[in-house]
Amino acid sequence: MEDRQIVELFWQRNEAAIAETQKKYGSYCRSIAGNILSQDEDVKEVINDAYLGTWNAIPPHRPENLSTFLGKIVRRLAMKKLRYLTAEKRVSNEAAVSIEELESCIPSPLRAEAHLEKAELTESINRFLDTLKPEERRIFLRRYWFCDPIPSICSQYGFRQSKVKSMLLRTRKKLASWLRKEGFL
Amino acid sequence: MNSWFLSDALGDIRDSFLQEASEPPEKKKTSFGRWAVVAACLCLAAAVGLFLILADRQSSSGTPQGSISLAEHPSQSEYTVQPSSEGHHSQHPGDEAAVIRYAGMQYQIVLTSATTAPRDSWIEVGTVQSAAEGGQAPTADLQTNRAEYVGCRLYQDPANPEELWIEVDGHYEQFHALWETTYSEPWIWYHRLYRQKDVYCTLDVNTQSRKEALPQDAEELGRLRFAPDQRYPSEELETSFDLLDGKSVWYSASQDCLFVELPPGEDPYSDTPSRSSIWRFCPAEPEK
Repeated sequence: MEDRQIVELFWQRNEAAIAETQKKYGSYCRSIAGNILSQDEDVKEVINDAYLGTWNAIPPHRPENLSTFLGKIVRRLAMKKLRYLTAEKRVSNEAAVSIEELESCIPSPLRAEAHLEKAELTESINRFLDTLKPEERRIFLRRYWFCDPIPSICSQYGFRQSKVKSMLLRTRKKLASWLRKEGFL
Repeated sequence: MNSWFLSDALGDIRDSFLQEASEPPEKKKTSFGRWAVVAACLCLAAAVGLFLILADRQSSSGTPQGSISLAEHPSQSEYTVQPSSEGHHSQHPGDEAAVIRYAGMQYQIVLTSATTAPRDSWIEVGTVQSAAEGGQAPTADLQTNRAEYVGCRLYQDPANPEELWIEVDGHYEQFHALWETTYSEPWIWYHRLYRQKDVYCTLDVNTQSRKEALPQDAEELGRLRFAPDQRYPSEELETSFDLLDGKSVWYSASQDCLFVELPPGEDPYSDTPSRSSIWRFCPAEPEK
């Protein structure tokens, strides 16, 4: 079924929308949540919450691209869960490592974090991503958005680990420099 | 926590970026295609050259000897090279191209029977020691994927380290470095008068080459410069690894190695990014 038709089902408050979403994007959601969370039950819980979140968000939203809309909800919920588990010191997985990598590229605290609008930072990151070469951008997002393990990125792109690691390091340094220039650091 | 906030903000990036990252990537082409084109051009040039030589001989001494068959009408543009049944070690239809590993790099054959005379600038750099089992790609220096090269001597022009020549039955076959396989590998060029070969490299940054501290006898040589276009370095204190650009390099006489310190957060291989790393670079050639 086309995304447009599934979104229409959501708007009609037809519960088949959930089943169709699950049918079309179930494995996509599992891959995002599964990269972030280690336990199957956590993954299932997050995906169910994501379907519920989508049900509540459409309407009023009418996403043009259901996969990214859904993917963002799954990632947000999975990260929230991971943050809780990490705080409780119950987990140490690939996603936690990727978050630590981001930490390592920010030498000083984000300025006035409490008052900083996250949307501002997102817009700045969008502009930063625009400056990257497509390959650099894809690999950066595979690592820090999808939380793919480095060996998995290597096999997807046919690169060696040393190349991927150095590309990621360079991009993190560029990001740190960008954020400094934009006044976030 | 900063990184969580950053990660949350990253989570809401533009949809088009996510769509782009979700698409299956086009895998990088291997270097084989490029080298195949180079080899084909060289073969064509060799064929034309040989044709001209043999045509010249034919005009002066009758029927040519050797392995070239000419078309009945020499004015036609198509000629074929018939490989001799002897002495051509690279004729393995269906097999992988002949490869030799030297100084941590893979060299692939580009030309057989290239010349019968060594050049003055060549330096003998070693002898092929072994063949990898089952024709697999060589994993150790002075190893090849072809048993018939074992025992053959290797030569290189220091000014042209991307080429390697192997002596086989009195003629020399030319190999060329496969750059794709060494992209971003750290290399340093450092010339010492009492050695003929001048390349230092870290063969395995993750394990062998990491050190806790500089040796006590380490003396600073200067700062490294990044070789243009990530090429194999060929000048004093040049490096192929851009992350080493501008970094100080030390030499330890007791260990006969070069050392470079990377500040915290700059070592892509480090498991402890908050600490600085010392990379050890060993001579890339076998000890003589």
